[in-house]
Formats: sequence, C-alpha cells, structure tokens
Amino acid sequence: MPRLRFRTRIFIAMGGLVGLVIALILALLQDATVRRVREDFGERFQRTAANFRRLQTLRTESVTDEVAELVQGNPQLRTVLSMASLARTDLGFAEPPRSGEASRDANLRLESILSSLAIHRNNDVVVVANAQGELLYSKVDPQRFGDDISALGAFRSVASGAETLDAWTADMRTHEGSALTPEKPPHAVYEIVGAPVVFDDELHGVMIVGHRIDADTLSRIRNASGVEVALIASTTVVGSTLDAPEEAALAHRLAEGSASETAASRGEPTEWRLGEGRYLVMPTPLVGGLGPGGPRFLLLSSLDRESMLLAALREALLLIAGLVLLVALGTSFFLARSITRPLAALAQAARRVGTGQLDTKVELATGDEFEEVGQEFNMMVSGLRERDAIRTMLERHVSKEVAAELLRDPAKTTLAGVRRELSVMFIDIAGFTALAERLPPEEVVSRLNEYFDCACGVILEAGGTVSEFQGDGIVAFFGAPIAHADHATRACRAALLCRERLAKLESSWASQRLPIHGFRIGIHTAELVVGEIGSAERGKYGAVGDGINVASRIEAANKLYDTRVLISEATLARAGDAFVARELDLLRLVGREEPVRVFELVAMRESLDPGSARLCELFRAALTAYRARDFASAKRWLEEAAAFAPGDGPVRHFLLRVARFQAEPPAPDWLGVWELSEK
Amino acid sequence: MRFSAATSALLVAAIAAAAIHEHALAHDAAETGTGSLRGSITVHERSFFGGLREREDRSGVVVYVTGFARSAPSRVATLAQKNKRFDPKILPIVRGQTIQFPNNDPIYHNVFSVSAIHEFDLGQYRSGDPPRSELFDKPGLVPVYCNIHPDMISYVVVLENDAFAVTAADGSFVIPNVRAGRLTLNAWMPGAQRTSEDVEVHAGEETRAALDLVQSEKIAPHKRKDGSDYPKPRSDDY
Repeated sequence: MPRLRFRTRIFIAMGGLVGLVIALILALLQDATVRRVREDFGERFQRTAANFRRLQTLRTESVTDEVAELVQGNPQLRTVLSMASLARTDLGFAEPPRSGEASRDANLRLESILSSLAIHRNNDVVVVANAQGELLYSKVDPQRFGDDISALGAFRSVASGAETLDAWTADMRTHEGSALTPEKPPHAVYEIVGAPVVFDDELHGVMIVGHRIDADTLSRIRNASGVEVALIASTTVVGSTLDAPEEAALAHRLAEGSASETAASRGEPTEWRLGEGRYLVMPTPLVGGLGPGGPRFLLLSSLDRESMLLAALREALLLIAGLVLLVALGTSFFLARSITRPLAALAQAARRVGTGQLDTKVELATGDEFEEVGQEFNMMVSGLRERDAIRTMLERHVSKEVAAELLRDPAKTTLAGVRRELSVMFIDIAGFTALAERLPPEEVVSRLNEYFDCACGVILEAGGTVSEFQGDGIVAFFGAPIAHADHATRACRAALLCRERLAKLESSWASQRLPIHGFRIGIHTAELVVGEIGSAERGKYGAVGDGINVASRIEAANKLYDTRVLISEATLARAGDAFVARELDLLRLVGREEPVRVFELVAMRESLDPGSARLCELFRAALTAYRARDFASAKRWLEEAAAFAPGDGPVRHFLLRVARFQAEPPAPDWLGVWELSEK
Repeated sequence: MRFSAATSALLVAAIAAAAIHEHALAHDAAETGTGSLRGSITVHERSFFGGLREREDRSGVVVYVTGFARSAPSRVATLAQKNKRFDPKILPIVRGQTIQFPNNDPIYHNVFSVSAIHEFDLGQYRSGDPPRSELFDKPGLVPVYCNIHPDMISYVVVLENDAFAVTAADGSFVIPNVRAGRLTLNAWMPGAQRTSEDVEVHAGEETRAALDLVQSEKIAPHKRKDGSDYPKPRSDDY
C-alpha cells in the first residue's frame, strides 16, 4: 500500500464517506420514491380499472335495456318470434309442420320490422332466433335463416334466463357455418347482449345484438379513463390506443406466450416493457364472467411520467450530492490543513530541537488539542533545556557516569538539599601564588588547568563531586549527589591516586624548573548539608557545615608536618582497614573545642612497602612516648626513625616539638593536644 | 269497412263449416259406437337442480284423441279478454268451429294471429262493441295475440273431433264421446312436447289412461344485475 499523506488520506476518507452517505441517501430516496410512485400508479390504476369496468357495465346495461325493451314491448316482434317458435309444434295430426316456411315468413317479417329500428342501425350484430335456436334473422346476412345456433353460449345463456353478456370474435358462426359477425375487419371483438322473448315464463325466442369494439370505442374509453387500452382476443391484439411500435411490441409479447402471464396476473398490475416505454399492465375482462382465454382488455399505464419524475429527482439528488461532496472536500481540506499545519510547525520545531536549538518555541494559538500539544512540546523543550543545563553543570562537578546516572535516575540526586554524611576533600598547591606572579598569565592558566585536570580527573573517576575551586584549591566531596556508602574509601583512594599523579606532574614541572613545592590534601568525614546552593543565576552544587572547615584545616595542617595527605579520624574509621594511616597528632583547630585526631594516609594496605611500615611503627612508639610525657623516649624513637627515613616531615616536626617540650615542659593537664594557631 | 269484411268472413266461414260438417257426417255415419276415456296427466317440470319433479298444478293440459274425425258442434266457443289476459289460456275447438272474442276490459284490445294455420286480425275494439268472432277451419295450433298488449297470448288448438278435454288442477280428465276403436290419446300444453299413447276404446265402456308430460324450463322474470326490473314497455308502441 502506497504511503499517502495525511491530507490525502483525510481527503479520500471524507470524500469516500460523504460519497457513500450520499449514495445511500440517493438509493433510499430513489427506492422510496419509486415505491411511492408505484403505489400511486397502482392505486390510480385500480381506480381507473374500476371506473372502466363501471363504464363498460353501464354501456352494456344500456344496450341490454334497449334490447329488453324491444323484446318485451314490441308486439309485432314478439308475435313473429312466438309464431316461429310454435310453428314446429307437433300436435300429432293435421299436416306436418313446415318450419322452413314459418322461418322464411318470420325472416321476412323480421327484416321489415327491424330495418327501421335504431337498435338495428346501431349494432353490428343483430341475431334473432326462435325458442329452439333456429336462426330467423341475422344482420350480417339478412336473407339467411334456418341455421342452428342453439349451441352458442350466448343463445343458451339467454334461453336459460342467465347473464346475457358475452364477447364474440370475428369467427362466430352458426352450426351450419354461416357467419354471424361481419367479415371485416378480420380481427374484431363484439360485445354481445341478448334478451329472451317470454310469454308467461315460456321462451318464445331470443334476440342478440352486439357492437364492435372499435378504435373509436377504445379511444373513448381512454379519454374517459385516462389509461391506454388494448383489446386482446386470445393472443392477438385486436386494437389498441397505443402507438404503432408499442402495439407491435405488445403483439410480439403476447404471441411469445405471455397470455398465461396475463391471465395469471389478473387484478394485479404488472410491469411490462413495450418498445421504448415501460407500462403497468392490468388485464380486465371485457364483460363479467368470461374465461381468461377469451377476449379481454389490457389496461396500460405508461410509466414515462414516473420515469421523468425519477429522472428529475435523480438529477436534483446528483446536483445536491455534487454540492455536498464539494463542501465536504473543502471542509476536509481545511480540516486537514488545521491538522497538518500545526503538525508541520511541530515537526519543524522538533527538527530545530534536534539540531540543538533548545530555545525553540512552538507558537500554536489554535485553541484546541494542538495548542495543548504545542504547550507540552514547549514544556518538553524547556525540560530538555533544563536537563541540558543540569547535565552541563553536573559534568563539571561529577564524572560523566555520575551525571548520566543522576540524569537517568533523578531520585538519587540530592540537589534539593539533604543532610548526609560526606567525605570532604581539600586539595591545594603550595607556592602557586608565587608562581602566578612570575609567569605570564596564559602560562599560569595553562599550568593551573593542567593541575586541575589531573586532580579533578582523579576525583571524578573515583565518583567524587568537584564542588568548587578556591583560587588554586579544589573542594570536592564524596557521597553526594550519589549516596555512595563507601565515600570515605573512595575519597582515600582518590587521595592516594592524586598524590601519585600530582607527584608525576610536579616532577615534570620540576624538570621545567617551575618552583612548585608540592600539594596538600585533607579529608574529613562529617555530616553535612549538601545541595544546589546559590542565586537563581549563579550557583554551585556544594556542601555546608562545620566539617568543611575541619577538612580545610586538616588540609592546611599538611604544612605543619610537611605531609601530603592528611585525613581525620572520622574518615579513617569509615575507610576501614584497606588503608594504612600513620597517626600524627591530636589537633585543636582554631575555633574548635574538640581536638581532631589526624592521620597521614600512607598507602593501600596491600601495596604497603616495608620501609613505610617500619617508619610507622617507630613513629607510633615515639607518639606514645610523647603523649606519655616521656619526651626522652620519644626523642630516641624519633631519632631512630629519622635515621631510617631522614626526609620524613612528621619525624622532623616532632623532634623539634619534643626538644621544645624537654626544654619547656607542657602544663600538667596536657593531654597531648597540639594547638593549631594557623589557619 | 271492417264490419263488412267481418260479415263476409263469417259468410265464408259458414259455407266452409257446412262443407266440413258434411265431411264429418260422413265419418259419423261410419261410427259403430262410443266409449269414454278417463285418466290423469302427470306434469313434470325441471327442478332447480335439473332433475324432474311433479308439478302441483296440472291444469291447462289439452288431452285429445286423434284417429277419427267428427264435425264441429254448432256451439260457439268463447275466448274472452279480461284483465289484459286471454281467458282461457288454451282453447281446444273442433275444426269448423267459431270462436267469439268478447272484450271484457274497459280498454281497447285486439285479436290477431299470423299463424300459417290461420292468419287473421279482428282489429281493435272496446268492450261495448259487439264481440267479434272467427271461424277456424284448419286443424292445428293457432296462437292468438293482442297487438296492443305484448304479453297477451292464448293457444287455440283446432282439432279434428270433439273428443278432447282440458285437465283440472289435479290433472284428471274425462272424454266422454270417443269413437270406439284403436285410437291415439295425446296430451299437450304450451312449453311441452306432446306425449301420446295408443288406446283401445270400446263402445259403451270407459277406458283408463294416464300420460306424462314434461314441461320445458320456465324462464324467471329477467332482472337487471342490481335486481331492478327492466323498464316497462311503452304501451303506445303500437
């Protein structure tokens, strides 16, 4: 399936839907209309057929009345028929009846009587017979008489006093074969009525008259009823009010054998296609009581009017459909645009964000869901922006891994500020200020950055957070923002690594004749408040608390002992046995009542060299003696240590201190605490 | 004019009657004796369902004997017009006998026939007019009509002898003066085929006979479909 643009899809969908709905409505409307029109036609048809039949009946009754009046009221006619009927009465004596003569006489008399009557003039068929069914007179052949018509249905029904309506076709003949209907036209249908001549309930003769149903009759019927009429005899169209081609089509259809169909569908209009036109067709008998095969009328009602109506309706509907479709497509266009436009704006904005333009803003004032989406998008971008800022900020304080972890799981962060135990580390380079005065500024910055890179790299590697730079000093802490439980260990490990790296850096600087004396690291572990500290514009991720000062003092204490890494007792306690530390002193820091026990971090326990171990032992012995005021023993141990490690700062420092205490012993309540006056 | 014509007709009839009488006398002379016939006629009619059934009213059947001739009695028969009807409906007479047609209605009537047996027309006359007569000298059935009233009909049966009777309501008849010998007894009524039976009549004896007559179907008064009568014929048609 080809990928289509959303606009195209909505176009197609809307168009299709509207088209479908219109088609459905169209079909329903058309169906309903067709049904309505059919019903209408059917009703009209039935009504017309009923009227038509009434007309027929009236017409027939009128003729019947006429004949009845004649046979009841004309004494001459009655006498002649009576005579002719009685002529053959055999009384068993006298001469045998000469019926021929009586009939001839009756024939003559009838001709003279009838020829002057209107009923004779107005009818095509006038047949008179005596009670026995012997033909006395026929208008078709006035001299003809004596034929037997007693077998004719019309005679029999009149003679029995039954319904006297019938239809004769052109082939109606007497028993002897002489025609009773005119020879021409060859296909003709005659409506026949008859009446008996009765004396005292006895039949004395029969009179039958009939008129041809001609084109004029049909058109009169049509004019009166409003429907087309066709006269059918058997399967022949005798005449119709239809146009020639349609009449031919009807004749063809009848000849094809639709007669049974006609018969079957009596009383129910059916639809026929005749030539170009469609017709509702309903057969209706000519006169009451005739069988389906006999002559009959077909009432035909053209459906052209219906067709025209439907065509007009269809046209109007199609026009409406077109308009609706157009409107629908237009609507769908605008609808699609109202969707695709914001989408396009969003897409463009997303692209811009993709290229890193986090200041991108989507302005969608559509007032709908898109506006909401736009706002969400803007919020998302601002969120991205914040995260980006945070990441940038974090990456400068912590390692990328930590930053990533923090960003991945913000629940671990303590940016909001939390009280927590941390290990704070201070790093400082001795003599850098002097260096800054001697070297060109670019060089200073470059060297400083070398140092910072080195130190910070180690801190970050160890999972520490660089909080700030104080001139040439670095403040870092472990245990925040990610709460590493082993923050003290991490800090100590970082300190040892820093010592190693910075030693290398210093030796490389030394080869460049840069007078850098060395660095100092101090670590203290304490409970601190940590968080994002600062104003809205500027801030840092830092820690606040007394422990910071302690760490700073401990770092500064390196100067006293000429050591590199000092840690407090708290840190050592947390770091555990993994490290070897030499206890140096109990220091009372400035402004603090409680003395702090400080240790020099020597090495990892596993990498401790025997020399250092020996030095530590000697120093511990010296320190024990020193605290016991046994300064002589202390001096001895220290001198031994000095012999073993001549450059060791603490040993040299304590030799001086012991010498001073020997000359000037401390107060009796001295507990081995050294007052640190220097900051 | 009509009067003189009637007179001359009467004259002719009288002469003819005389001749017939002579002829009849010749027969009479040969008669050896007379017997009588007694019996009854059963009239059958078609029932509604087509079967035959016996009719209650068996009157109006002419029962007559053929096989001998006898001259007409001098008595004049009467066929009256009363209530726009001929009375009687059927009138047997002997050949050569005269019928008088009195008009007993206060209106004009006419008597005529165009029968091949005897064609005549007595014209139209009122009840106050002297009754007109006609002599029938030829045997056979002569239906008579009134040319004013189309429903009026009567059947004059001109027989060759006076051995006839018209049945009573129960169908019984007696013919007293039948010439002895082997004869034929006939029965006829309008609308029925004549039936006959050979009978042996012995002088001074009464012979019993019975005949069956089947009357053809009657035509019910013709009504319109809606049940109404057809318009009454105009009486001034003629």
